[in-house]
Amino acid sequence: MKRALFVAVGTIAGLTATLRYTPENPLLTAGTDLALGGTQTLGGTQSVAPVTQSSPAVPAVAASKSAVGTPTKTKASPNVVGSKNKKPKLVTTKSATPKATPKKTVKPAPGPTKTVKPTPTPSKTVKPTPTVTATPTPQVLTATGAGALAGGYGTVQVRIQVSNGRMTSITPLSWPTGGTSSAISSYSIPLLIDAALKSQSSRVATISGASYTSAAFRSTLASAMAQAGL
Amino acid sequence: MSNSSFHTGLTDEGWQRAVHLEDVWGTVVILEVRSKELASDVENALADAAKFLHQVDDWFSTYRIDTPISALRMGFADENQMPEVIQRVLEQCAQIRDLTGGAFDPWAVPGGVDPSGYVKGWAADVVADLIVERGFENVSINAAGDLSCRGLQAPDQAWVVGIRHPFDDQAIIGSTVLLNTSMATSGEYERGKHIINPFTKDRHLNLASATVVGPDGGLADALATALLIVGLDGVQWFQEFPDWSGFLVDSETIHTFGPAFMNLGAEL
Repeated sequence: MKRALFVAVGTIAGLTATLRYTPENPLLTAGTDLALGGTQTLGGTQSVAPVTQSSPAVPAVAASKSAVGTPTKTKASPNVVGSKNKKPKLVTTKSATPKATPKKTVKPAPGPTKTVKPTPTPSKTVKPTPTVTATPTPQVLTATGAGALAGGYGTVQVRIQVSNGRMTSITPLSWPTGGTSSAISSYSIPLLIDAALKSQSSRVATISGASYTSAAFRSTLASAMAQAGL
Repeated sequence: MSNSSFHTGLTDEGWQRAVHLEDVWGTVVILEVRSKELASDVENALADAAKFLHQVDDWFSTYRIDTPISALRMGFADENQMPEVIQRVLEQCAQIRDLTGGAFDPWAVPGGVDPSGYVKGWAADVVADLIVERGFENVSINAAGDLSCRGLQAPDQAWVVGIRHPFDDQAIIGSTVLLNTSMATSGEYERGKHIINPFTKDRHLNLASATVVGPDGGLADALATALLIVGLDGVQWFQEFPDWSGFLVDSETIHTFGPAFMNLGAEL
């Protein structure tokens, strides 16, 4: 149980890190580095923040992230998004087809791209004091925490799946609210698709924007009807 | 009468599912509820909620001559003679027109005012709430691509939704979780929608697709279309809406903002 708690904290901190990392620096102009920046944001949530050093589980995850090849934390000064700073920031990344782009950002393996988000202001870290609210199976935790995240975000609830002591997925059940949200992040399409397809495989219940005539909509229909016996 | 069908089954997690498909608006709307145990009146509840979709058609169809909106468009009536619900929708549309600096403008459409860029998402919300009122808390509506979700899709799991890939109608390009919120996507692939750029008066669009997530399906629907027209500059409209999120695709890049897409790639 204790370990579960730690994992929960780690995840929320990870979320925080993501939130904090909003590449708003207008100096970020096109280029390969940017594509990498995008990649990292993509891997953002992995960055299990250092808040929970004490946890045995967390460092393991963090370590796997920062593994080799980590294409530099494009830390082009990832500014903290101040809560007052309402102006949406545009960072347009022309997806410089990255040969440096380590595809398959998805496995915990030495897969690069799981970069640790630079947490430029460690002081702003969360203390969500999470409470494990549900343990449907010993390995699925739901953690809730209200913390002073960078930018003044509020309550966060995530579901964490743990396998052999390591997080295998983080599913948000509620989003943080109340902070600034209109900073833009950019990704090169191929990278994101990896992640999307992965989650598509099992869990996507329905599809937005799939017009009536499209194959995507037909498959939505089919899955809507794919009931026992049909 | 209308074509509809009803199906039931189980999810992988053992929850009961019930799905109602309704032929309406020249397309199909999917109404789905899930629960550990569904009440026995689920079929009636979904059928009743689906009736609202036809009511919406009776009010807002621009393809029929016998609707109030057609009377308005043809100049046989003016706005203050419309049923109250239409007036309310038009008021919303006017506010969104102002918010978007005219990028969303139902009055700029050739042929007269046409609020259908708002109505589909709005109707999805109403139907979802009607079903919740009948006691089913886990609801997903897919109104031909406009989504409105309530509750969960599985134990401890909010509804996971995909975004159609604008260049490949068999793929999804992103996904997120809808937490009692709605999602609308507009894409240049929607030939049938005849999206007109009110500024250039032509079909010029600045994105390949635009997806908006937020607590109001009608607004999401309208803003998705407006973003498609304007492009990234439209993100400024969301300054005062920190709960809203967007997922924008141009020829080679995805741009996101807002909490719903901050977790991209969270799958470790």
